[in-house]
Amino acid sequence: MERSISLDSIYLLDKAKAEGINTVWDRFEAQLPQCGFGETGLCCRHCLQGPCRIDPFGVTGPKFGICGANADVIVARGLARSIAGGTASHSAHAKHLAHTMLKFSRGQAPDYAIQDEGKFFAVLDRVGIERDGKSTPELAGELAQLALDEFSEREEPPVWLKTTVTEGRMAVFEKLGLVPAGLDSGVAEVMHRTTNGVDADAVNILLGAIKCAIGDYTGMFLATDLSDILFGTPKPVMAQANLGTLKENAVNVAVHGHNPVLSEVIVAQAEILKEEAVAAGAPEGINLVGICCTGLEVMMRHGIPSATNSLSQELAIITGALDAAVVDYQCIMPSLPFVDGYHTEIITTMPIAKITGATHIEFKEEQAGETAREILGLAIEAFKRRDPAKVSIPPVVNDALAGLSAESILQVLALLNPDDPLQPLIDNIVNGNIFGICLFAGCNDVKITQDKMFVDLIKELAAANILILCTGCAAGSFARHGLLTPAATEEFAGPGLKAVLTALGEAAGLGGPLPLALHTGSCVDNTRAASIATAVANKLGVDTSQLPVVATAPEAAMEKAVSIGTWAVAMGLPTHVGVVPPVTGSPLVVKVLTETAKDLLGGYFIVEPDAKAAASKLVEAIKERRQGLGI
Amino acid sequence: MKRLFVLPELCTGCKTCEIACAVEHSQSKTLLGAMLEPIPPHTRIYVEAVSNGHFDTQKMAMTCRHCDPAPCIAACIPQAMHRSADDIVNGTTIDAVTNVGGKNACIACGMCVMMCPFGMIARAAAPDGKVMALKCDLCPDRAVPACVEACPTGAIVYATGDEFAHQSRSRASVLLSGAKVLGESTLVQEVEE
Repeated sequence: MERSISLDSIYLLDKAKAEGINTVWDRFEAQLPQCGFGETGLCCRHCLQGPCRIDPFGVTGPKFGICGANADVIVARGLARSIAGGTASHSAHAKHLAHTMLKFSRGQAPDYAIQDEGKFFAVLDRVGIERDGKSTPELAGELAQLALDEFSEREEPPVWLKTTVTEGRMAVFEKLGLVPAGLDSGVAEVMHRTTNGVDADAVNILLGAIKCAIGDYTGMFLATDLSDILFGTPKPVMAQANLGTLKENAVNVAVHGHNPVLSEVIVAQAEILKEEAVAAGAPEGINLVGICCTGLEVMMRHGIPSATNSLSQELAIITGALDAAVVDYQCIMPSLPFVDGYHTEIITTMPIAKITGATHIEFKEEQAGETAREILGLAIEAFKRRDPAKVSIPPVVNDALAGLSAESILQVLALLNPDDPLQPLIDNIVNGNIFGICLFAGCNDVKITQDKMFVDLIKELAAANILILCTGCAAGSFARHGLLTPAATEEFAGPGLKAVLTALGEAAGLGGPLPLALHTGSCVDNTRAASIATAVANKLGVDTSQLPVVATAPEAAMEKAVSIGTWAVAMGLPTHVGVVPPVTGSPLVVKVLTETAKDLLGGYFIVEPDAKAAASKLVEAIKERRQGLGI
Repeated sequence: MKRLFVLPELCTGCKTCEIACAVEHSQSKTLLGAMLEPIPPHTRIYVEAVSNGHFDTQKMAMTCRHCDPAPCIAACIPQAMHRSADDIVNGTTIDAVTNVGGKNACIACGMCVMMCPFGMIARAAAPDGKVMALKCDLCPDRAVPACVEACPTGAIVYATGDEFAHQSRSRASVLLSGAKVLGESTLVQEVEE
């Protein structure tokens, strides 16, 4: 199997091989064959009497765990816990932003500000905070406190849930008992009901997991709101991608991880420290690049290049030109400090995410600027240790238009119809120029060729006139392959889609079409796409489960992708996954996820590893919905 | 003589057999004890996979075929590698190709490693620290080899060639006669017999 189709990845994998350096791909091969009990979800370690395994063939091996749990219960419990893992991650990210806003409101975080007052007011109004007669810090304090309250248990449904989904969705959630009492409580409840001797009904466990995932949606929506308020709502910005954005004559610093809380301050400080970098022998100063979703956060707000995704993070080091990687949390490989023979300073910053072998500089919002300067100082010191003989930067750079938040998509649409921005979108969906909408999300997965499924699938869907939104590693992947450009629209979009993207692009003054995929944010920003779907559904007076909108995570890898996929299903979307999750040990769980969910929620999972087959299944799902709407 | 046979369709690739084999060939013969021994024990069974990196990975536990004539015996200069055939404990007849108790001590030359067409011989440290050729000895201290007992799906079968061939025949005859109605897996039927 090819490891990657990304030219910069291939270039550096060759360099790694020549130098005998192991990467994630080698570690994956060392794991082969992977344990079939884990692959099928039939291993349980939830109590000390285990581990228990169910024989997937049902021949001679056990059909029950020691406690009596069968395959269905064990698989459902495992899946539920991975959804809780994903939800806990997004929730921690969201709470971090809420705490930052709270500190700002108390005057304890001088390096932060309300950067988007318009969104600030819009969110305050949406969540029902009275604005009259209150100062900005007072309002920020109230908003942060309300956000933090979302995580504990309340009698009322979470505010960021009930104010952001259609009434129909809320009614479905209430009817099925899927409204979490609080976002952290959803996680805790899954941990409880999946421990030994609690919930032993696979379908009920899955409902609990879906409830938890709806909490994930809520926390993600909240996180995006707070990020936009603190750091600005992304606007269309031209940027670049690939590892070719590293510069030989600059101190190269990668921000890596997920939360913009620190990286935003690093962006602000990098310019200030330029002279120090020049003095150290780097005429181009400090060159900030992004890896993973922290990278996408600063890409869409500041046009910082997206160097690479999480899967290929080690390859950035193997260029020999990366002087420091500043990491926060999530998707950061513990191997980073151990890429043999390279000088890159790995700097961890979060008290909950230290890595043995890395330098830890604890980040506190109170001293954000100071910490950022200290970190950049370390990067400049590391630059002095760089070995020029080891530097080899792949000559691969692609342009990428980023920053198409829901707000900026609406602003572009408003150029066609200022009074009713959604109407042009709806008209084009009705007339078939836009056959449907697909949100691409998720990760790269070492089990399949990096980016291949992303690229193959987008081409199929765009040719079928499906409007593409993308977030997270999907957005990073498309950026790396030049698919966030007008040229890609010219080459790959079907005629209807091309006409719409061209009209929008020209109205926006691009002098050509909008890119083939609209970069709607980092992976925590998937609710941006959901909010567009909700707005369209509300305008049409239908539910999101009726819209010709689908989602896909073709190269999903992380627990966070599992929780996002699950809430996408809960929102009513047919949701494709290109990598088989560890559920095949239970035909019942598979059936619930791929069939029964459709009856309950409208959304359901489609598991299909082949790009062409996946495309036709997604097109069929859209067709079914169009028929349902009579269009 | 009983041998190890593997049913690849039942192998999940969990490597429980590898761990059980290593533990059986440790000094303490317990997992925890083996982990604390200065010389980590070495497995003599290997789970291999032919993989396209995706969904149709074929997994299979590979172990010594105890060939006759055995290329490793022929290649062994000091005549350490030999065929044992002694009635031992538990009434099990062991007819294993082994280098323990041979004419002379193994000199770790690696000739047998080169000759084994299946790659089933490792040149590694035995629990006493001496580097030598390590391979499957069919667990002379046990009635049933450790891997067979450990396999959670019954993918490793300890049987004579005739017994195993009979099982395969009956499986094939069911398939060929079209008697699929008997069960979703013909293996189920076989086990129930």
